[in-house]
Amino acid sequence: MIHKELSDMKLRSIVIFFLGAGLFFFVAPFHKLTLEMLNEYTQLENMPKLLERFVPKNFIERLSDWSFYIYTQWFGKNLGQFIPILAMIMAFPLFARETENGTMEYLLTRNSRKKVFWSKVCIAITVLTVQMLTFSLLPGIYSWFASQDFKYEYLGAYTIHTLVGALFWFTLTVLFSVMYDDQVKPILTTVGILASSTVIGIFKPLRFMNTYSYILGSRIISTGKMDVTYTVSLLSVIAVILMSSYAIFLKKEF
Amino acid sequence: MVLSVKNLVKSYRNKRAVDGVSFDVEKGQIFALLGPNGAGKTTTIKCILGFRKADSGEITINGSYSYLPEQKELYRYMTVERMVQTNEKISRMFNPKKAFELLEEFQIPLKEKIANLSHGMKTLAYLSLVLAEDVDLYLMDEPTWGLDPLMRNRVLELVRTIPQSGKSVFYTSHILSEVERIADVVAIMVKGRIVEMDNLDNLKEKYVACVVPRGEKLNGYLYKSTKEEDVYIVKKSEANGKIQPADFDMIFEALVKGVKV
Repeated sequence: MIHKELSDMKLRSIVIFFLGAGLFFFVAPFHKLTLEMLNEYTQLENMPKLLERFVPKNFIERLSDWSFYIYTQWFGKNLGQFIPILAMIMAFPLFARETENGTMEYLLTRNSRKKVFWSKVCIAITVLTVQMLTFSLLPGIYSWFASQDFKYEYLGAYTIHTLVGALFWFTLTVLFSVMYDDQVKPILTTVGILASSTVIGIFKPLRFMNTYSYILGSRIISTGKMDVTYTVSLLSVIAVILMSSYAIFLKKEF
Repeated sequence: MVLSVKNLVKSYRNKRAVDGVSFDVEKGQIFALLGPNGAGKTTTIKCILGFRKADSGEITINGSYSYLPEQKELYRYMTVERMVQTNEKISRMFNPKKAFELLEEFQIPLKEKIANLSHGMKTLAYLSLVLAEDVDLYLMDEPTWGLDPLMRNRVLELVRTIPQSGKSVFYTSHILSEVERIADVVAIMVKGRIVEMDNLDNLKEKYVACVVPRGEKLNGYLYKSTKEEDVYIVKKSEANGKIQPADFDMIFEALVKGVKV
């Protein structure tokens, strides 16, 4: 099962890995260039008001600090934005492709439902974890090689936020991958939930619905600490979703 | 006994796909479940394998099994050779050497991707994997569908040899001629029910064709009508009128039509 599952996800894992790593090298080496560009804008007499509002001058000043730059621009922007999408890409074909292509019968004749489910989920979670750890640790590794002054003490918190956020969207997509018989519906449903939860999260009482504010790590940058309550809550939700997916898979008809 | 099914019932919404089906498959037996399309054969086999949850009934499988599904779908991105290697890793009772021998015999190119195989070649590739499993029971859903006559004959020969090593075959088909060639016991399934089940020779012995003037009623199945005569398939004990031997095709057709007067 391990061999087959790894073969199944080889292409998309490699693509995601190179996309993630490629994205990092579009951010990290351009620290100075970004600063120069933003400073040029701030020196304009008629600086666009929108830019002034979203990129205040004090923020641009703080960006000159390498740690602030890489944490906000990598975790808080580039990587963070893509985490739910990357997790969905890893999860959506996991069960739905087998059902859609009619190969689930092949698997279930040779292995128990329990083994098929947990093999698929555990292998995909392992691959996703390796990807997220790599992407999270890249700033630290790069800073060391580039002799940048990097505040490593925040890296653990950002890594946990990245990992837990990715796992949440992964397990949610797995749930729909188990439920639906084709590959399009799981991804459409999860993208729909991501969009609507982000919009709903604009309202203060429902702010917790917006997983982006957790994944992007805005609280870490402001308090210097990991959001423990949200992390534990998300982990509990992940466990519930995973067990629900398993229960559905045990009863699903093929 | 390798497989026992008792009072199996399975419905899809309001439609009963399988309605109180019972049968046993003995060790070393080829059991054929014969019926027209939509009779409930595939649902029965899927319930046996647990792919569909039966509404009620009891299913017992004594021993290991292998399954050839109706849709012969394998991993399209793999080559045939890789598929065998993958199967070896997934299945515990698989003999890759035997699989490669069968693939060679069926002339399936090992380096070809599954996606590029024709329907017939895909069926033969899947059959090679299934027949290379050392199991007690082989469940096959329409195993020869889409094969050319030469390959169909070869596959039937292979299936016929399975019981020689004490193994059993549960086989579904809608092709009478092949069932006649290989089956020890035949169950005829119509609209979710088994309407007849017996040893093939007994079945042929049991029924005769009776030709009676049109409109005359007999306790049997109306096979066909002409302007002046009706032809019934009836049990020998109920025979009347001009009696003729009934071949298996006639018995099957009459039972499937189900016009019992």
